Amino acid sequence: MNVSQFFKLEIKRNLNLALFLSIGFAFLFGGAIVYSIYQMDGPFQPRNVSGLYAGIATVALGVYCSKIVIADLHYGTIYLLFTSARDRIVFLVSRVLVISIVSFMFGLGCAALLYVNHALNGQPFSAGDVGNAVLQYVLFGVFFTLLFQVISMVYQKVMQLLILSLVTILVLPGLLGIVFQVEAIPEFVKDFVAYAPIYSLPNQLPFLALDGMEMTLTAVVSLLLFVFAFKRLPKIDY
Amino acid sequence: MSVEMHKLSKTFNRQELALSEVDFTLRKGEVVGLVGPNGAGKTTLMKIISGIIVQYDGVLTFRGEGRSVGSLIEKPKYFPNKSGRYNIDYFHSLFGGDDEHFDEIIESLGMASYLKKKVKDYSLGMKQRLGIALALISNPDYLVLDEPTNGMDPDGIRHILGYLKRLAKEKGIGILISSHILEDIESMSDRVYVIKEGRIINEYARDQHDREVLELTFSEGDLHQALHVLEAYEGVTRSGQILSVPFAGDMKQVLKHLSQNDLFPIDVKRKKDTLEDFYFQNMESEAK
Ligand SMILES: Nc1ncnc2c1ncn2[C@@H]1O[C@H](COP(=O)(O)OP(=O)(O)OP(=O)(O)O)[C@@H](O)[C@H]1O
Ligand SMILES: [Mg+2]
Repeated sequence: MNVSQFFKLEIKRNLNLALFLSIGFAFLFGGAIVYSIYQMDGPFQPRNVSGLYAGIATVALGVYCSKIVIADLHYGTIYLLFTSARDRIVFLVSRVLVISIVSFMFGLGCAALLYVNHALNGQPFSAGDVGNAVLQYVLFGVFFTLLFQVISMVYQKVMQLLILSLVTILVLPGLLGIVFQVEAIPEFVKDFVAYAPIYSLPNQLPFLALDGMEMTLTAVVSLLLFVFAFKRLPKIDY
Repeated sequence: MSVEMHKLSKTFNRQELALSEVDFTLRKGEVVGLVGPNGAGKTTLMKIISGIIVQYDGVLTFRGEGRSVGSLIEKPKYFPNKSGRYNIDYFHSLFGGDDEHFDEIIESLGMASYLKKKVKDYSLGMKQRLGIALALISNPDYLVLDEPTNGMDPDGIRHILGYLKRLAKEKGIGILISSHILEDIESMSDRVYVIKEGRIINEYARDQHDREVLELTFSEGDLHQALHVLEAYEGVTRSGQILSVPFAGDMKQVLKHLSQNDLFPIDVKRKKDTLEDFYFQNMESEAK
């Protein structure tokens, strides 16, 4: 398999109209807040702007994360792609690459919206916000893609995978949040949940509020998932 | 230059034995058929050669230069929401190969007229042709085709099988092909493996293709004794009340031998020994 060709083709295949539409849609959604700040001079903050943007963006990005690992399983085209250990690794790397680019665009969309808010309403915005937005979106995309990739290696049912991935992003963080309301649960469990990327990412990303620790942990867990997939993928029957 | 299996076994879910100590060889330039009942293990064997199933016991070896495998396993695989052209282009640029090769495949498979259409709107046979095209597009050293003629019209089958056979001879590709249509397999294969319950139970060689047999039908009463008498001749097989004796130019000896024992067939037929005969003989002798 020609690696650079594959990357090129996969990027082209995934940077499609649906992607730009969903970023545009998230932008409009967040834009509504920008507009109401403009009209009523408050009471919202930039965090509300990015939050509303994320309302659409995280779901869309989450769908992308599962789509890019499930699509070839669903079509069966992995039969044409998975014919050697090397090609399976190339496939894995391409998933990370493609979702990084897709997430980057979502992050850029978010930063652009914050900039519009700044220009229109004079609310705070700095160049650092661009880097921050992009970094956090990329972490989100890469982590969930690798998570779904690993799950899809254990469990190859396409429909269930798609539902599972949406539940993971939309429902699970809320469920995990219950942990914090129960007194009896020991402190270390609460810390564990709070820092688990599966909880912290969907909760903090909307406000671009992941702290250094959370980002580091997400990166480390993603790396572990990658290493696991790297070792396992060449040894799986399809 | 070949791909070989030695004592290869595959177990699914730790208990279901799909292949059992299979010894198998596919050389470059030859066409090998694979026939057997549903669930015999044909697809499993093909997935192993294609690198899609990677966990098994035993040894799979590629000898000599070139070990790329193009495959069409069970149903053809493609991006359904894209055109045939997109699909072929995609895998063509992924696996290389020159444009001449590309054009030749499209022409040989008769796909030119519907390349622009989305594949999900293709007819069964068109999809099948696309599947074959995608298996071929990587210019592989070996080609694995699992029931490739499904849903294709008779004319198309004849045409495409002829094309594949020529590919094997001209480009030295090793082709493994399975089908339940035994005539198709017979018409294009140099050798045929018969597989049943995960075991290769027999092999049908090219030189047997032109072999003729004398089919002697005996009454129930005579059957047993006739079998006993004919044991003296090599290659005699039984299928129900019919005993087949390899045809050896002069059959006087056999008939004389029978009549000396007061055995007279109720019907005598001289015919070619086809893969179909061979197949059923093997299935029956296994069942005994
Ligand atoms: N993924 C799997 N998990 C469990 N068992 C399997 C799997 N794939 C195949 N098998 C089993 O392995 C055996 C061989 O199946 P295989 O698909 O190779 O048969 P086949 O010869 O191709 O049959 P057919 O003519 O119906 O296509 C069957 O008993 C089947 O149930
Ligand atoms: Mg099969």
